[in-house]
Amino acid sequence: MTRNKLGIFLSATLALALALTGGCVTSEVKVTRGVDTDFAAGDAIVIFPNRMGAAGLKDVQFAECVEEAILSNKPDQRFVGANAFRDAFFPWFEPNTAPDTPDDLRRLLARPLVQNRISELGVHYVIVLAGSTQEVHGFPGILCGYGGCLGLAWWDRETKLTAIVWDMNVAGKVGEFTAMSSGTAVVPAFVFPLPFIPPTETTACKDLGRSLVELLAR
Amino acid sequence: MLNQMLRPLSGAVIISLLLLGCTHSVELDVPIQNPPLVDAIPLTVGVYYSPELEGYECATGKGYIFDTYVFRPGPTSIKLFDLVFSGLFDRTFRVNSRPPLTQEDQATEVVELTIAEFTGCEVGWPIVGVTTVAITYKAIIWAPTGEKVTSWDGWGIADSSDIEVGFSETAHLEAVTAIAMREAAADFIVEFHKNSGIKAWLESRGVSRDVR
Repeated sequence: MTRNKLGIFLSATLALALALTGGCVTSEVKVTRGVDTDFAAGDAIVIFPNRMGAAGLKDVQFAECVEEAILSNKPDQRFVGANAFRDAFFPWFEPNTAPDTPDDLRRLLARPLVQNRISELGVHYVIVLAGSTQEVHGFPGILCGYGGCLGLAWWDRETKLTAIVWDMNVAGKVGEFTAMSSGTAVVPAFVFPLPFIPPTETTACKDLGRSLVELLAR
Repeated sequence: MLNQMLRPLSGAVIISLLLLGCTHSVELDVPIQNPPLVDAIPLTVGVYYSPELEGYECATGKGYIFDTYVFRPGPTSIKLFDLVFSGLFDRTFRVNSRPPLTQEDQATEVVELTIAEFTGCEVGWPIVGVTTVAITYKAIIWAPTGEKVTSWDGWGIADSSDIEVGFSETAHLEAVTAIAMREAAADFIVEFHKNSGIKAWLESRGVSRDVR
């Protein structure tokens, strides 16, 4: 391949990649409101990854990301760590004993010892967080050999992040927030693959954080 | 000539050392630091941990180069349940045997803790697949006369998907076992007040059913 043709190929590939992605991520947040409550300055939040351990590694990462997103918009927001919360309320929020329904939660919160502990910690909201990223509908157009890789691949990427907010003072669901963001990942390859991955997870996380801050400001 | 003799000898020594393998002790930390958040039953009970519990051991030899892994959940379980029982009852004290007890403690029931089941000793290396540990604690309440009043248990299970993957066999097993023990203790506490035998015993001692 001559230099001119090589330059044209690379430019065309880069242009196509940018055209397809353009750094574009589309996103939206859906909110389902529940009970009306007031969140006071100084009240603390607990963000619980829906799953813990290796199975919930993504949920844990999302929880950290959402906490950072909230703090970037509300720097004085106080958090209680999920593990510290579980330790403080042992045995009531273990994976095998945590309340499954609002009625279970109400019964638990009716216990004077539990109420006192909530007051001591100043926890008002518990946010249960779960998320996932799906990558589908792709075109696997890259071939790799001893000399490197050549071609173009792309696929759709979608991240969905759900947060359920529980009010510990009234034992009610404050709301359910779902952030969805999507984009197209493009990987042109000439010797080496050059991935252009849309930041769907970061976008979903930040959008969710902003929505939660709006809730906290009510 | 000496070198010719030493070569096979050193090879034999090396192979023998490899075949001996290593014994690894799986150190278990108490998975809770404070008593549980429950209303204490207004009773004083004795707590008995048998020598069988203290010496409970589970050893497996599955590993690479014939290594052996030894679990001793007994001592850690005793520390765990010292905390659990201190939360469940107003006052507890250790006793050295089942009832009937000495003159001073004769009127007191005794709670005896046992490990009814412990599974999951096996470990493989490198860590692939799923490691699962399950433990069942059983408590028996003995009347001062030595008759069995009632019993209940708590069961917990954990597998390697509950922890982030590690590259040390023993650390991996310690983490999984700690989670299983914590879950079993939580189940044990929650089941305590659901148990009909416990409710009947409390009523017989004049303790309200609403105490939780």
